[in-house]
Formats: sequence, C-alpha cells, structure tokens
Amino acid sequence: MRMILMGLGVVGRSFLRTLIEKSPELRLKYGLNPTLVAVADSSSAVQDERGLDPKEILDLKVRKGSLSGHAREVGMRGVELIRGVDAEVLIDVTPSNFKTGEPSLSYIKAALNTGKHVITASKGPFALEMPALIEMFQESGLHLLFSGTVGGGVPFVRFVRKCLIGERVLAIKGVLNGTTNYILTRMEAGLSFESALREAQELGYAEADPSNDIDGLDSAAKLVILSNLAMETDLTIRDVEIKGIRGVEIDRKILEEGKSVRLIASSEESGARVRPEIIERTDPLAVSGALNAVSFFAESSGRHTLIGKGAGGDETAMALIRDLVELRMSLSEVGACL
Amino acid sequence: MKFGGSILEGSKDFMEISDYIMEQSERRVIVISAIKGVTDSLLKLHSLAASGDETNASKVLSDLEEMHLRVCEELGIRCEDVRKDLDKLERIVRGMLYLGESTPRVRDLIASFGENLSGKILAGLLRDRGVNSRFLTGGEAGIVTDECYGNANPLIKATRIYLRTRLLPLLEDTVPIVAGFSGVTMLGKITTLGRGGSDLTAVLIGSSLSAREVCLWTDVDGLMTADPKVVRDARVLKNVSYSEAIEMSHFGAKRMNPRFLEPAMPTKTPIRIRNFRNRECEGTLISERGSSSGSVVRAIGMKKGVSILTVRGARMVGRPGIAHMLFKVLGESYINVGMISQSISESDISVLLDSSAAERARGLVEARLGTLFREVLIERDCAAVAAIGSGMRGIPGVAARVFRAVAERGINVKMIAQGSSELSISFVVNGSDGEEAVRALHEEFELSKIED
Repeated sequence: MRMILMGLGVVGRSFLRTLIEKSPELRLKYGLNPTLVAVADSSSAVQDERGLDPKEILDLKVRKGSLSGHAREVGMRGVELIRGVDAEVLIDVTPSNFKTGEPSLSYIKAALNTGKHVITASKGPFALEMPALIEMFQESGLHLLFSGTVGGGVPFVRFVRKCLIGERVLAIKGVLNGTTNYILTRMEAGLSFESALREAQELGYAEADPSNDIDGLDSAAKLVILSNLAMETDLTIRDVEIKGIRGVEIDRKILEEGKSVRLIASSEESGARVRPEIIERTDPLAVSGALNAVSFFAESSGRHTLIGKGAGGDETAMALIRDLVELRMSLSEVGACL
Repeated sequence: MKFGGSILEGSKDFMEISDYIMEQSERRVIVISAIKGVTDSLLKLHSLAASGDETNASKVLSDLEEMHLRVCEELGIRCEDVRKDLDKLERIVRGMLYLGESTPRVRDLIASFGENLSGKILAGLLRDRGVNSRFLTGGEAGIVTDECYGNANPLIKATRIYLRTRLLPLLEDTVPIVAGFSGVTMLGKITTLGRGGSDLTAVLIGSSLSAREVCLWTDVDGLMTADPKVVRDARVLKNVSYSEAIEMSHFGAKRMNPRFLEPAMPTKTPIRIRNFRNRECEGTLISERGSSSGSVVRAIGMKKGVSILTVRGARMVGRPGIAHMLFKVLGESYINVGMISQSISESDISVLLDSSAAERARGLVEARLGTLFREVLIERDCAAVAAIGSGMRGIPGVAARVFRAVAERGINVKMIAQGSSELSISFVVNGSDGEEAVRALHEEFELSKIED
C-alpha cells in the first residue's frame, strides 16, 4: 500500500518509528506492505514513487529538524503534493486546529478529490464538519479512518463501531483530556492552577500553548466524534456548550465529602456540553493523573466504561497502524477473518 | 423565503419583492428562481449550441441579454456583475458552437445561469436601496450534491453543515440572496437539482438553519381542495400534513415535485405556500401536524391524459416473477408507471401510464413478453381521480362513500388502487367523466365548507 505522510511532529515521528519496528510483523500477519511515497513536514517535502526509507527520513528529521537536503526533496507542498502523488492512502498527522481545521481539512479534501483513502489523527476537521466528511467519503466509495483522533491509547472509536454495534447508546459521559485531568488531580493535592499547569508542561502532557486543552476545545472535539459515532448525532463543535477549567477553584469541602472535580464531556438528548463537574470519587470517571475515561450508556446493556492512557505519540501511532490494517482488510477479500 | 419564477417577469416584480423584503425585520435568507421562461430559454440555447446552430443560438443569447439588461436599466442599478455573467455565458456558448457537442455537466452549468442573473439583480437592487445584501450561488451557500447532472441529489449531511457554517455568520448583518436550483459536486462542478429545484433549495436552507418557517412565494393561493377550474367553490386548505402534501403535489394548478418536502420532515420545519399577488391570503401551511379539523378527505385530485395498460392470460397464474418481468420491460424503456393493480386470481395486471407512452409500452410488452400474455390491452383517454386525506386512516366506510358518490352520477370505475398507508384512494374513469367525478367527491365530502 502506497502512503503519503503529512506531518512530522511527535505523532508523525512515532508513526515512522512504529512502522520501522512493526513492518516485518505487518507483512507476515496481515500481508500489509506499507510504502512511503511522499512525506512532508511544515517546511519541506520528499517524494519517491519507488518508496522512501522511513529510517532515513526519521534520522534526517531528528538531526536537522527538517527534510531539506534529502536526495528526493521536491518543491511541491501540501495540497499540491497530495494531488500530484499517486498513492492509495493519505496519513494525516498535522496538528489540530479547532477554528479552521487547517491544514488538515484541505489535505483530506484533496485526497477525497483524487480518490485516496484517508487515515487521520487530526481532530480539527472532525470537530468542524465530521458528518459532511463521512458522507462525502461514503459517496465516493473511499474509506476515512480516524481512530487516532480520540483515545489513541484506548480504542474508544473501535469499541463504539465494533462492540456496541446494534445497540442504542442513550448518553456518553467522559473525561477526554489527559492534560486537564492531570491539572485537576494536582490541584486536588493542593497545587495552584498555575503550578499544576507548569508541572504538566514540564512532564510533556501540556503543550506550550495549552489553551485548546484547558479551554475544553480538545474535549469537545473528541465528544463530537464519539457522539456522532455512537449516538448517530450530526454534531459539530459549534453545537457543544463549552466551559474549560480556567479559573476553576477546588473547594476543600468537596474533597472532604469524598467528591472530585473533573472536566466532564457529555452528550445526551438534551444536548452536548463540556464543563467542570463535581462527581463522586467512586464514580469510574473520577480517574486521576493523565488518564482518560469514557462511559457509554446503552439502552439494553447499560453502562460501559473504558479507562486508559491519554494519547501520546506512541499510542496515536499505534492507532494509525490499526487503521492501516483495517483499511488493508476492508480493501481486500482475503484476511478479513483475522 | 423563496420567490418563484412565476412571479418574476419584469423590473416591477423585482421592485415589489425588494419592497417586501425591506418591510420584514426578522433575519431571513432569500432564495430566488430565474425570471419566468429563462430556464427554458437556457436549455434551448444549450441544445442549439450543442447542435452547432449558430444563428438561432445567437438569437436566444441576445434575447436573454437584452431582457436582463433591460430589467437592470429600468431598476436603475449598475449591472457589472450581470454583464459579467452574460459574457461568461456567451463564451461558454461560443465554445460549444466550436466543438458542436455537449455533456450533461455543461448543460447544468448553462441552466444555472438564470438564477444567478436574477439573484445578482435582486442583490444589486437591495444594495442600492441601502440593504446590506449579498448574492451566493447554491454551491457558495453550501449545497453539495452527487454527480447526477440534471437531477442532482443533495448530500444532506454535508449540505446542512455547510449551509449552517456559511449562512449563519452572514445573517448577522446581511440579507443573503441564494440562487435556487443549483448546487456543486464535491469537486466543485455545478449541478442542478431538477424540476422544482428552487423549492428544494429553500427547504434545505430553512431546515438546516432551524428557520421558524419556509415561505414559498408563488402565483397561486396555496394547495386547494380541488382544481378551481373544475370545481367553482374549491377552497384553499389552511393546514396540510407533509404526507398529504406529497400526495397532493401530483395534482392541482401548480404541479410540484414533492422531493422538496423531504428535508423538512426530520426537522419538522413548517413550509408555507403563499400567493405574492394576493398577500391577504395566508396560503397553505404544510407541517408535521397538518389539520386538526378531523375531515377524512381533504382534497380531490385529477390527472387527465392517462391510459390503462392491461396484460391478461392464464399462464401468468401462480408463476412468480411475472410482475417483475413486466416492470423490468417498462423500466428499461424509461416508462413511468402511475397506479398498479392486480386481482387475487393473478390472471391480469393493470398499470396506469401517461397516454403519450401507452402505445410504445404496448408495443414493447407485446414484442418482449408476447408469449407470456394472451392479451395486451390499452384503454385510452382515461382520467385518474384521487381522494386524499390522512384522516381516512383507520376510518371504515370512506371507500364506500367515494364509490357511491361516483356511482350515483352514473360513472363507471375502471381501476382502483389504495396504498396500505391509507393516505389516498385512487381510481380511474373515462376521460370525459373525470370532471364530474371530482365534483361528485367534492360535494360528498363537503369540501366547499372546509375551514382548516
């Protein structure tokens, strides 16, 4: 399978590393032979229709911070590269932008218009127009896989799509952002918001500009994705009432009563919202540290809760690999029973 | 609000419409059709250009140009963007004349010009009169369709999201004027939505933006209990349900494509059909609820110029797949079937066809399935009559009243069909008895006294 990889940030580099490590196994177990035909970061791009060596690219990126100087460097960028290069699938791991969805949104559409499947970990396009994207890919007979967008560490998306199939999900409630959960946990231990945030940044949980996390946008985007999948809603991030954790104070009394404050994302019939809520410490959603948790309330089988690590680079990279295997299986007749 | 082509004839109409828009204070999106007759001219222009007929194509083109520029001039508006569009149209036509051929895509591109021209005129007029207004094509507004050129289907989820993201911010301080009838494919190619496409545009927008109401301005008072040319005391129905409206849209003074009702149903968006020439009349409100009057039959429809095709034969009995073979032959020849009926003995099947297609249908069926049927018969010049009303569901005796009323006037019934949804009872009579049958039913169900 020929792939175009857009983005060489933490996730992109992890993806290359995982690919190098897993490639014999992928070939053996799934008959999957991923070939990188183009790779781009924000300032440079390389292309070779016979296949690029992932190790060489990774080393170059780590050493020089960009791909310039590579023997196969090309002038094409972004949309032009996706349109111009022949490939089966676009792997998009560019950063999420919740206002415009760019550059990911244009990349995905360029792939759609040139007949390429897409595997993405970028949440922006889904937050803004998920129902539209899914419908357009279906109309074109192409696959759009996105399990890297939510809970890369725990397969939330696959749980909904495969395990809850045929069930009616009445509500979703979850802690969907590891950074804010870490901050809230540390605040409960007595730290101020500022020092908890600083600590999260030092540990690499929070980005230099943490506003997408602490203002609740990241949680809202993930909620949109899970709700549209599990509850057949047609939400976008504009339909979600959002309140982040800036300025939240934790009353000691709450803690003494055996309760916790968590940034809860919920979707039910009355609407979708993200806001700090007081919950019992015995509630399965009262996870601590950078963990994520989500409960699906199904009509007949009741509450299902998944708890796991929030997504880092390696977890998301693995989600991309899982999507790649799934794509390979749905495209070919053999191996579907694996 | 949508303004239909039937009320767009000249500069006076544009002025009156802009007056009306300026009177309204609520946030509103305007959908506009092409000026009356323009879409037909554009389609004619397309076929002339495709066949390489330069003389006639140029004539149609210059007529269209003159007509639109005259409207602009009479309204005293600058018309650069109208002129630009006309130039573009001319270039496309020249290109086609050179090539002497066309594709469905080009046909849609040309057909979409009518709404763009009238929309740009209205937006220009409103701006000149101090209203912040902006023109958008269907595609610019957010209507995304499949690639079925000439009769494209909106990708409903994508369309809803794009309409919301593009129109809602505009509505803060602008009156958007959207061209009806057209959309774009995912690749950005212009498509048209088929007959009644502008109604569909308006309802898509209204239901996506959660509008309080979608108002379709036209030149009739609304949906009526019967055609007023047939029944003098026919009345306008004030309230009609979506499913009744779907049944009624086949008949009446204004034939509509019921497709426009579909996007309104999941969002329960009310649609009002009103007469722009008679604004006193509140028109017909089509909604989820419909009427609460309790009357079982609410409207009588009639369609003339239909024929019954009957196939008959003992060999058909008990043999699965016969109906399939008949409809396959008809379907493959693009012959549209109206009513269908088969007796329980299975020895005959009757279908109702447009008279224009009946002879061809008989020829085809005889040629391809002749050995299967002993006889293939046509009854020409029939009229199909339908009594419509969702109130008849579960009420015994409605059919008895229908057929007694017709029998009392000495009218013979040739064929009967009722779907199990019980929204209507349809039957076929001699063409010359059609009007009388409609009057008989209108009287029987006292529709001239209907209030709601």
